[in-house]
Amino acid sequence: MLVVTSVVGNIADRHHAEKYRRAKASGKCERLLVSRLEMERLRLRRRTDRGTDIGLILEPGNRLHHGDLLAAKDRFIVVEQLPEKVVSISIKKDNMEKMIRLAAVIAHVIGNRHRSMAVDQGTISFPVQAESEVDTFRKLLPNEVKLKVTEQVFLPAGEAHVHE
Amino acid sequence: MTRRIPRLGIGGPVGSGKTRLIEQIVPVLSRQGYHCCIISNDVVSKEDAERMQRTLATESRLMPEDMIIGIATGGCPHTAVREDPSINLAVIDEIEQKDPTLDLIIIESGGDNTMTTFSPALADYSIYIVDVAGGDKYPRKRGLGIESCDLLVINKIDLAPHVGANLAVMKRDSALVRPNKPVEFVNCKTGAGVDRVTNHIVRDILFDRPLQRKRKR
Repeated sequence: MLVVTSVVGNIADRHHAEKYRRAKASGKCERLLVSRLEMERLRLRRRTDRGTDIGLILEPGNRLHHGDLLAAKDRFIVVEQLPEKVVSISIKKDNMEKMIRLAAVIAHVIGNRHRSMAVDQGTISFPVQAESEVDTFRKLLPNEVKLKVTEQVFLPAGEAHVHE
Repeated sequence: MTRRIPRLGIGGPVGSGKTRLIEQIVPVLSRQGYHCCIISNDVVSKEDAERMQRTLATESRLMPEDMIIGIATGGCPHTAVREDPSINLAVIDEIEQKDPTLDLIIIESGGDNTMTTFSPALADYSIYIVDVAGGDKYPRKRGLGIESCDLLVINKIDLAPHVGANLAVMKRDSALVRPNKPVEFVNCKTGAGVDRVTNHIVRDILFDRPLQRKRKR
């Protein structure tokens, strides 16, 4: 088992992005696939896609992020968050009062379920466990909104109070 | 700074065998040289903690009585391991100060049907335990507790023929709702299958080799 106690950077950083590109091109990059909930753990044992046995032990106050590079001697290991089912809700452009009312209803429904959420370009997204949940949201939410379910890497906005 | 001791969360419905599982795994871990502490969350009573103080401390002398701590959460106990784990974290802080050489802290909590999960701030690994008496539909009913736990344990397998539960169905459904994640069938009354559960704990939380005896402290 390869014990990893820290992260050296993230491929979103320009400096590491180039290293990542080269490692990937030369076939030397290993991927550690982790679920969103597991990204917050300080202690985790997993195998990379190439079979390297990783024992992760992070100090309190740290957590993994999608694209993190692990401090692993002689190896280039990048953390990848697993995709999950995500509902995206778009509010049609209308008068301000109506849009605020719709946004409040959506926030209320998501808040009651204590889900993580993200807002991007007028679309509110949150993870669901199964397609069957979407029916509930269709009933609860007004017709004016458009629901779409996709499988994606979900990156929540901020550290909200969640129940997952 | 005190050493952070690995933490195992054990959740499951009332009567599924959480306490009995702990009473079975602690002796196995103890024989391998691992020293544990237990925190038992309950609504208003401390019955399970008191029982383990009797079985694991007074009778078996496997651990000191003060290393088995009961927490009466006042509300549904899952809130104290998921939404607001501050009381459990405070107890863990005390334990880590008191005995930093411990190998494992076990946190037990019931509540919230199949949705019980542990805050990642509290547990490094979680076991969700159900029993066959709830019917063989249990795994396919899903819920975050069943789906997201690291190890699903199905207990009371001896009762399966008496309640019409098909273990093969439970195994098949567990694999469907938890792809690439383990499930173990046990009888916590006799201890059958418990060694396999402890092997997961030793390998995946303690980062050790299963059934490898540790040196004595």
